[in-house]
Amino acid sequence: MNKYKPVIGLEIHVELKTKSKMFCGCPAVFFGKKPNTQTCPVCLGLPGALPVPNRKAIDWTILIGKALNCKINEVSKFDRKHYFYPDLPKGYQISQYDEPIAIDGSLKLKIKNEKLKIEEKTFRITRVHLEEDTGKLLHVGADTLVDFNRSGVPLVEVVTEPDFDNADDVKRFLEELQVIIRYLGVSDADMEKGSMRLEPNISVRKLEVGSWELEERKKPQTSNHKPQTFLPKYKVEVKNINSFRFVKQAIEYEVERQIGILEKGETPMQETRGFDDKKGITYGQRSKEEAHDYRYFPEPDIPPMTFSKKYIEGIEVPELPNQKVERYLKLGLRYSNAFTLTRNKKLNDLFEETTSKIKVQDKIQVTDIANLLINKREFANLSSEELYRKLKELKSPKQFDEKLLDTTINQLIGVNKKAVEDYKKGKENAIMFLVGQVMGEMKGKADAKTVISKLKAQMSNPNLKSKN
Amino acid sequence: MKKKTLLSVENVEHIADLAKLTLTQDEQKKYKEQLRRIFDYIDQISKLKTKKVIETSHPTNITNIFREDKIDESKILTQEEALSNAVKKKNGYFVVKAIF
Amino acid sequence: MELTSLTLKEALEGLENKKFSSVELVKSHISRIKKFNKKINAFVTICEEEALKQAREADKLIAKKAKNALLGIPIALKDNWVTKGVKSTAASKVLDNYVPQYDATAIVRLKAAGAIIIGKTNLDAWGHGSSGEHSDYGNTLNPWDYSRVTGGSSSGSGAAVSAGMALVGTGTDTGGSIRQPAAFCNVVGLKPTYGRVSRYGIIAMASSTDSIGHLTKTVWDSARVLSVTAGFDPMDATTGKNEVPDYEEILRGKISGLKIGIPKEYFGKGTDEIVADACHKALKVLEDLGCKLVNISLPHTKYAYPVYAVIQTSEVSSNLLRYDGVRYGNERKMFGDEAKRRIMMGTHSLSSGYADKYYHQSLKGRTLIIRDFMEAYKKVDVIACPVWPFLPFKFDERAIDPLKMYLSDVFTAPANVSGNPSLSVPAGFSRDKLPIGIQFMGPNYSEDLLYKVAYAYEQETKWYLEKPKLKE
Repeated sequence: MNKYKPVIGLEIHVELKTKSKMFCGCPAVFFGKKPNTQTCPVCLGLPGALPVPNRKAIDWTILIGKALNCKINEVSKFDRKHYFYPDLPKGYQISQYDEPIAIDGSLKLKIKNEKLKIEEKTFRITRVHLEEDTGKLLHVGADTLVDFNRSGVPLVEVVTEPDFDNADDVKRFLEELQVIIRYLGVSDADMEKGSMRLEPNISVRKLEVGSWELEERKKPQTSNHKPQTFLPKYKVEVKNINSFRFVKQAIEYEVERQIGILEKGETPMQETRGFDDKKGITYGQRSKEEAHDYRYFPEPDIPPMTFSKKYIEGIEVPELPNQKVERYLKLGLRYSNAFTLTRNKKLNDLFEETTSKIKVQDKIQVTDIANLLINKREFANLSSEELYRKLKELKSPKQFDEKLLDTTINQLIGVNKKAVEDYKKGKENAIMFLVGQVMGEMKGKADAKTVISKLKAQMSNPNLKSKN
Repeated sequence: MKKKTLLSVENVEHIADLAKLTLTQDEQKKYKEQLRRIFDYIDQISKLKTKKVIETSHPTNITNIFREDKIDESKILTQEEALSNAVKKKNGYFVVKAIF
Repeated sequence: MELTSLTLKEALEGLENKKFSSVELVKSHISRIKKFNKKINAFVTICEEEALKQAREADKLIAKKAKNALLGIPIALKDNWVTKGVKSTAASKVLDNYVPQYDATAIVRLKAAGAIIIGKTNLDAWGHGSSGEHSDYGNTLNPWDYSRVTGGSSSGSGAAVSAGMALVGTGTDTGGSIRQPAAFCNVVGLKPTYGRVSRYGIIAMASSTDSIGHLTKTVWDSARVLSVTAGFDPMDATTGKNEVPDYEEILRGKISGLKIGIPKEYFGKGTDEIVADACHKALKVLEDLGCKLVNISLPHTKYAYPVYAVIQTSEVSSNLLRYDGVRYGNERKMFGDEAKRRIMMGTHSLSSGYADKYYHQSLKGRTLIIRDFMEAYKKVDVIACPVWPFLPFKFDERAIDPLKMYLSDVFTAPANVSGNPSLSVPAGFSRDKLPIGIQFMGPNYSEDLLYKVAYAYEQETKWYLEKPKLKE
């Protein structure tokens, strides 16, 4: 039995894809631009410059908060967070401290547990707040080079409670969060490009032998009740996990590393560690113990914000992936198909658009569209018109050349005299042989019903010549 | 409990470190004395009856000042302008002493 | 006619009536600067060539009968006002080579009104000072007595206007830095309502108390400049959307019936008799003009300075973090003694374990001080009081003890804590011909009222006609 239980909380940063930066009118798109070409006195931190907040970024933060079932604070403000780093031009980051835009949310996920049964797990969201991104550092030989194009881009920070106890759940949560963010249209949320960043806080708890928690494990899980837990006295922050595929590896390595220390009867040091994806290990960076004294205080250059209930209600959350899945299940889709169709917004948009085209007379089901998209991935690149047409084609009576069909039937009746005789004698099955022959000649481009009726007509009236 | 502020040299060192100021030994001593005197004077603010008083961080009643999400070409600096006062620059970048 | 003795109003009239040209006006000021600045040290940078070029342009426009609020007028900008293409140092060695890439909004507006920048004036580095003794570019001497301070931090602007080197000297007032040099130099100094004038492009000292204003020879002159610089700025989220009234029209209005509050806390033991006397005489003039004098109390006055000191130094410590010598400026070790002290005061006030006791407590103290003023303004229209507790002092007299120096701000800092406007006007001289100033404070956005009261007083006393006798 496992003596240890990981305790993991997440800090996720999402870069918003607004047109302009958080506190100035510089373009927020900096990918591929020459260094220091998208800056102004504000985001460069020049003497005398002042920040003015981007309304859209604030609205989108409220949107993300609502999508994560948070309470949106009616009063919120920005605060200064002080620390020194070359990519931070003002020597402080404008962020949010004690009055963030959103708090107390949650995300429910259907996850396959160790027993391969689907259970619903709830992960609590502590807060969602808004801040500005820093510049970028480039290490070249003995120099460190700084580019401020990214400085000031809006960044939303999502912080969860330490509700995770394994890397798979973390990955699942991140994937769901990524899909939600993409559905909201507020960010590309791409880990490889840096528009979504993960910093897990990892500790490991030693479960005392004979403790009721170990006892609990013996009983079948009957509820989602989260027992009262004590948090370990330390936590390790892991940075630099640059891709989804490293999430599991980084977390599992770190958990093992900590267990190794705990086994020796020691306590892991509170610190920040980096992840080296080439070696697959975490390594010490700087101690989180001598934590920065951020000296937070309310940003004097920006008046506080107040959001009326009406304003908050006015920011509408579109149908989210998990809601779509529920709806699709009611429409008869299998869970796995419903899940797949909601993972990618483009695919989902195609699915939704195509289903909206369904006409009763076409006899096309929602499940038909789903199956087609899932089994024939190439169709995912079609437009909804093209896809619907394809479906009609596959479902509808086959189009065929009637002249050619008549000729073919004539020919085959002439050639297969025995079958015709058998049919006329009453052997109904003989017609099927002829149908097969016709279909073969027509290369399938005829529908069986029409072929049968024409054959019957021809055979009963030999004078019915093909219309040449 | 009213405690006299005892600013030690360690305090002053820590403060200077947070503020990225390097002080000589003499300066540390000097500032310790001066800061002690100054904060002894400032300590009288603890006499203010502030139990139910809210904080005023902004002296105006203004709230909700935003800008629309638009690009302002007129304020964007060229690369040359951005770097014009840099002490050290290279290929369009600012140069700092290597980190790590 | 001595062009450098003119007021801004007289200069505008003279230009309009073609009594002289802008080139002549600017040239006369530049000669005066060249003659006396080596001694007085009011200017860090003199923009002779560019100023004359602009003067020629101005003359062309004037010839075409173009009208503009400050067309052809030589003005001086405090060197913490970021000026595109012109070295802007904040009088600190940290920025001794900084040439800004943009203009402050207030400068954009002044230029748009036709003003000509004649130079950048000296100040206590970063605005940190009340005397003018803390510039990294040397002391500025008081034109009235070279052995005495001008007052700070807008020391250069005070001296420049007083000595006839410029018709306007701009400034910043964070704890008294416009009103103090105005009072010591016999000129008019306006600290507008916080948010009345944009702070965009003004090197930040204390973000929640920095007020952007100016020094001039007369009240009308001050009103003219404010009508140009005031108003909402989308680049500064703390500027107010209040309309800008017609100050020049309003200041001529009658003041009889106006209630003037006299706060007892400003006239106690700490105030030199001669200063209190001068203020009382001024108040008598106003009483004779029909104003009603009302005794009031601002009970939290003695806490105003320490509350101010904590808030100001906390914000200073934050605002000065950007000076790391990477994108501009020199290394942090070039900070002067006063800057270092304030940075440390502020860092300590915000640091973990102390922030509640100092920073947060001060924000609460601020609320109490604002309430004091709001209560007072229910009873009176304006409040009158001294600017300084004493006369212009000699160099080193107060500078040797930082705390002693800080306490010079006790009468000016309260208006910075509350954000209210305050106007310092000449109120006479001591026997040794040392200037004394009186300040009129009012509720937010009452600059028009302050101008009205001050104008009436000024027209009765005309202290501005006195000029210092300059020695080279």
